Amino acid sequence: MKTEIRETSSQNTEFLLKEANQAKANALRRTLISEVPSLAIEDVKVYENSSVLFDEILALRLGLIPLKTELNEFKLPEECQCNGEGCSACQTTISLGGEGENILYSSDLQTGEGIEVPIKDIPIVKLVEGQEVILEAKAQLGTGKKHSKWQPVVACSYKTYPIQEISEQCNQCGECVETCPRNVYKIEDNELKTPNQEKCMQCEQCVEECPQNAITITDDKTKYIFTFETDQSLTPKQILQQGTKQIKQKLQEFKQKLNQQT
Amino acid sequence: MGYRCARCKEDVEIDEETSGVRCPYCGYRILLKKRGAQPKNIKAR
Repeated sequence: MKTEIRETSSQNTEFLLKEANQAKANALRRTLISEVPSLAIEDVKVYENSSVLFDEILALRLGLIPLKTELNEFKLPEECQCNGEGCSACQTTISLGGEGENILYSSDLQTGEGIEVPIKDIPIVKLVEGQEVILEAKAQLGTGKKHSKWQPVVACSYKTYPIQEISEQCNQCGECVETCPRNVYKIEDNELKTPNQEKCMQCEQCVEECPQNAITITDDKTKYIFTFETDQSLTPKQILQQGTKQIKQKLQEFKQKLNQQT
Repeated sequence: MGYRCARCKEDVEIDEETSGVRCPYCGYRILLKKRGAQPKNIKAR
């Protein structure tokens, strides 16, 4: 399996997965969603809350705020030497306080060293005169299979690599050029070409419109165009590295168990 | 568990036998329950 990065930024990435198959591509997708750990608020201790939101809703809103951290600085609570009771190796304290006429944003969270709130403008609760919120929260590492607040990717998907086959019957009438919603086709030097081949979404509108029945759409079963967006708690690179590490680890565990059985 | 009068903001104890739910200071009948002294622990999910 090889990858070819097409486009990457702090939040989005698109890459081509080569020499793969459907099973591998889907394994990667599922791992990125449910197995890559990230940090999120888990336990909330509410000291004072006279805002319009119930304590529970406030806690839910806090849990969904992405937190940025280095993965090797924390351990998953179930793998920690404290057996999930909570120690400095597996959790960190975050506090929030505010009163009077204002809105509390995610940037108002007081985090410990090494923890950053990447998205500063998430409103948590709106307060009016005389209302007050004081709370303390504990953030832990977790995975998306337990709760979606620990999911580092938000839109994670892949599509098969589309191929437009143009037969010799094509007379360059230009019907497909006009009808294609993704502008895949172009007529150049009396020849129909596909400059935007990867943009094709296999809607087969060109196949229907072509008077010569010259176009067939198929796909390359060994190539996948993979895209995902992060919630900014980890970079796309970290997520991919961690994801492939998890797959490898799971396969090794599986192999070990098989060997024990036989 | 104490209450607080919604009008005069005075701390109020409810006396069921005599006055019932009523503020002894201003006579207002809307009383707000005060938050407990213990912090509340909640799971964020």
